[in-house]
Parts: sequence; C-alpha cells; structure tokens
Amino acid sequence: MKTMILTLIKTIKNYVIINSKYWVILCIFVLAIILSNKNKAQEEVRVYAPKAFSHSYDPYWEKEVPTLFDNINHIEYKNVFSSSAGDVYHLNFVVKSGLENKLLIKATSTTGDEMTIGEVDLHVNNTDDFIEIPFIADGAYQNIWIEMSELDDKSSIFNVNGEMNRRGVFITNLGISRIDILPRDLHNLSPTFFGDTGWSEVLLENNINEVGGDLRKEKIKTKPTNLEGDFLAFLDIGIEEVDFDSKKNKHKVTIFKCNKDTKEDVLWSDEFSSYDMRKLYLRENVYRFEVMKKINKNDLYCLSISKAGKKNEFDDLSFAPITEKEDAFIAFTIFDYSEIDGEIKMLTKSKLEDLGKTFKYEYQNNNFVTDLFDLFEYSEDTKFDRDDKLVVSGEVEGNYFTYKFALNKVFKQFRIEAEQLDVDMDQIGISYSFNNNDWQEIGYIQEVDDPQKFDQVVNINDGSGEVFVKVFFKGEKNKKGRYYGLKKFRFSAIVQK
Amino acid sequence: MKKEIEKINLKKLLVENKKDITLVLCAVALGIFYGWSNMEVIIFALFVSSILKPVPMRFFAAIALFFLILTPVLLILERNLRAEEFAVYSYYFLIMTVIMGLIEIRKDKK
Repeated sequence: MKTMILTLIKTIKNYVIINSKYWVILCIFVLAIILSNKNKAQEEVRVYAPKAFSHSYDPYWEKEVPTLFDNINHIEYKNVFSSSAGDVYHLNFVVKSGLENKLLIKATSTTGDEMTIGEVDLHVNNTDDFIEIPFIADGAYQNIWIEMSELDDKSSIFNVNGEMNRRGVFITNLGISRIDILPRDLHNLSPTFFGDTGWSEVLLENNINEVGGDLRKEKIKTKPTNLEGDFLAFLDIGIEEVDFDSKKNKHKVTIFKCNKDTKEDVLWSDEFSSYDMRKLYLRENVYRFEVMKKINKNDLYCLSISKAGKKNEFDDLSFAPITEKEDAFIAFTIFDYSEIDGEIKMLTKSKLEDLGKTFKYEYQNNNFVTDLFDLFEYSEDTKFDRDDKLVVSGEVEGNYFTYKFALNKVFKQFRIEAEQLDVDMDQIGISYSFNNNDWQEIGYIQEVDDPQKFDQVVNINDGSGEVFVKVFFKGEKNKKGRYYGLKKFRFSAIVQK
Repeated sequence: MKKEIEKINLKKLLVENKKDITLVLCAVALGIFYGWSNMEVIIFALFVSSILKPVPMRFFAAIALFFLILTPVLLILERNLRAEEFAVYSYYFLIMTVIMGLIEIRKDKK
C-alpha cells in the first residue's frame, strides 16, 4: 500500500515537473482572469447616451462657454468627497462634446496622491451624455480631476468674428456618492436613472393656408400641427426686408389649440412692430419669439399672424424661408422629457441613484432656461431671467413657483438647500407639502449683508410618494418690476428601495 | 520544390506545437473577451509564448528600453496619456526580461 502511494506521488511529481511550463501558464491564466474581473468591477464606465433625443438639436449649443477648450485641458473639483481605502463610490456627470477626444478622470488628494478612475471617449455630438463610473478608492482622496487626454486639435473654439464654433467639452452636474455595499457587490447595483431631456425642431413645411408667403393679406393661418413634446419653447419666423425704423404697423402672432371638436384655445399671443423685431433677431431673415408654454402631445396647434389694430393700414412684412427648404417659413422648438416606465418624468438632469440599501434622488437648478420647464406650477409673471440665469417671479404678494418631486417610489427623507438671489431683496419663504395643499414653511438663516440661506432636512415617518416645494414672496411691500428668485436650489432625498 | 519543403515544415511545426499554439490562441481569446487593447493582447500572447518557448532575455530588455526611452520624449511633447501607456508597456517588458533571466539562470545551472 505504502509503495503504491509513493509510486503515485512520484508519478504526479514527475508529471508536474515535466509539464511545469504548462502549470505556470495555467497559473498566469487564472491570475489574469481574477485581476481582469476585479478591474472590470472597478473601472466599468457607464455611458448613457440619450436615446430619445439622439438627433435632437440644442438651441443654446453655440452660446455657452465650454468647461474644457483651447488650452484649458483640465478641471479639478476640490473637496467633493473624503475616501478611505476600500470605500465604494459612484461618480457621475453630464458631458457634451464638440471634439473627438478622451477624458481621463482621476481621484486626487491634497498630498499629491492620485488614482485613475476611468476614461471616457468623447465624440462630436450636441446631446448630453450621462456618465457614471463606479470605483473603489484605494486610499484617501478628496478631489476629482478631469482632463482632456490629448489636445490633438489646437484650433480655438472662437472663430475670427469671436463666435463659438463648438470646439469644446461641457461638463456639468458632477456628483459623487458613497455606496453602502461591499466592493464585490458592486455589480448588483442598478444603474442610475437620469433626467434626460432634449430639444427638437419642428419645421412647418408647405403648411400655410391661402397665403403664398405674403403678409399683406388679411390673416394667415397654419394647418393644424401635432407638436410632440412637453413644452413649446420658441417660435421662429422667416421674414425678409424688415424696416426696423417703422413703429407704425403692429402684427399679432397667436398660437392656439385647433383640435377639430373643441373651441379654439389661445396658448400664447404677442404683438410686435417692425421696430420691435430688432430684439427678436436670431439670424439673417429669422426672428425668434420666446413662447415657453406647456403643450399637450395629443393636441393640434395652429399659428396665425394678422395685422393688429387698424385693419386698413398697409402691412409691410413678407415671409422668407428659414432653412434651405423654400416653403418652410415657420419653425417651432420643442422641449421634451424622457419618461421612466412611460409615466414618471424626471426633472432635467436629476438623478436617481442606487446606494445599495436605498435610492438617492437629487435635483438642482441648472441655471438654464430648462429650469422654468422643471416647475410644476407658477404664478403669471414667473420667467427665466437671462442675465441672472435663474427662474424669477415678481415681488408681489401671493406670487410663487412650485416644484413637484414624484418618482413612483416612496420618499423617506429629504433635504432642501437654497440661497436667495440678492442681499437687498425682500424676504422669500420656502414651504413643503405632500399634497400641494397643506404647507409647512422651513426656516432660514440670514446674517447682516447676506442673502437668506435655507438648509433643512425633513424626515417623513410614513413616507410619501410626492413632495411639493413652494418658493413664495413674503416681503412687506409689493414692488413692481422687481423679481425674487433662488441663486441655488438643491433638493436631495432618500428614497425607499 | 523549396515551397513544398516550406509547406511541409510549417505543417510539421504546427502539428508538433499544437498544444503551445492553442495556449497562445487562448491567451489572445482571453484578452479579447476582457476587452483589452490590441497592444495588451499582443504583450500577453508574447508573454505566454515566451514561457512556452523561452527567448533570450535581451530581446525583451531591448523592447523595454525602447518604451522607456520614448516615455520622457512623449512627456516633453505633452502626450501625457501616451507616455503613461508606454511606461506601463516598458514595465511589462521589464518583468518579462526578469522572468526570461530566471529561466536562463536555471538552464545554465542544469
């Protein structure tokens, strides 16, 4: 028996020695598989290109200054987190690129240590890509460093006339969250839902009844058109040979619902003279009206243009094509929200993130015209102020604007952080409600020569499916022509899984 | 005639080394499966094949030096990412040089 065992051991030993190189190869393969799986868990970059709006256009694309352009090839977000070795994080941000390039993302520390988190390939597009990178920190880091890896094309984003030519990278809404799971469970997390929104342009081709591009007739009216979107942002009209000095003749432009069986219902209307058109100038022969009205996907809409005031006066406007298509004189710019499960609309660039045991929801104002669309309800004179890049409302008693947060999930806790726009403004208040009816005002602090600052955490014992946040004017005197608003507004919540 | 000899030799070579060739192909397949870059797949396949059929260590040392010399040049040219990539390749080849060195020492002892 003993001899048999010894022979067996000897045979195995000889076999191992003879085939030693194959055993080494086997070990290398096993090691490669283990390390690759570990790296895969750590460095998988999730890129969510907005599917619904992949061919949409952005009316602001050429007006904004990029985050990275020319020789500014990196940005550092300081003190955004504080990690220890083994901590699991989600880094996410929104990127839009006018360059074919690569972003290198690192975690850095004040002592000079760094760790590469991931790389993101950039492709020329005009839509927002939502990037999410799960990673496991291998030490203590505090900052996030993002750089364009190579500046192959050093041409400036500005052309000789000082206009932008889309050669830059926009990075917004950077967020980092610690995930309450073990590193090995990283793959069990569900991907983050992003509030994906987009623009599209609806050209009205061969759509004008009766009038062949001449406003000298009594009135023109477009054929009923279905505008598939949530908001009608702009109306562009092609008009040629405008006499900018003429204040005499006013024209009235109206957009109204024109469903077959229902009464015409005015959505938006404006009067303008040729003199006023200076302010509406968009590009040669094209003038832009800001409509900013909520629309219904199932309704049909018509547009009419007529002379305002005295009917006998001679009108001096004529249509011009607004694109290369010769029979397209009018275009609408539509803004649309994507939906989760066909019903939940996530506010622009908001995030619903899986933290392991709970979800985290986050929304903040984007300092963009879309902030107005994100409102649930607002009083008549609420608008988006282009100078301050904020939603503002008149300083009049009773004025308000309300946000609605609803996700088809239960909110367990939320936090409201906000800061008043100006120091010299009258007081404003912020209230929350779970039914848009019973309101509870939150407190604020205000030091001398400082704006009001709001920061309150609210625990909801029974949970709530909806949270409404109302920002209202509570000053003593109504001041005509003055507006109130929030410089910063952030709503974050713990949502039950 | 010469072509025929070459053909026979190649066939013979393939048959004799089919185990080794299969393993190198496995290494390539592994790299593709995990989405490694082309260069990483090549280096890994080279590493596996060098263990199966050891090559002189100076061969890998030369490649490591090539990447090492290029690294500072790329840094001067502000191609930081490429420089980092080359530094990593250089490190890979230095490891392979050491392994080949150990194999050579073992052979010499025998």
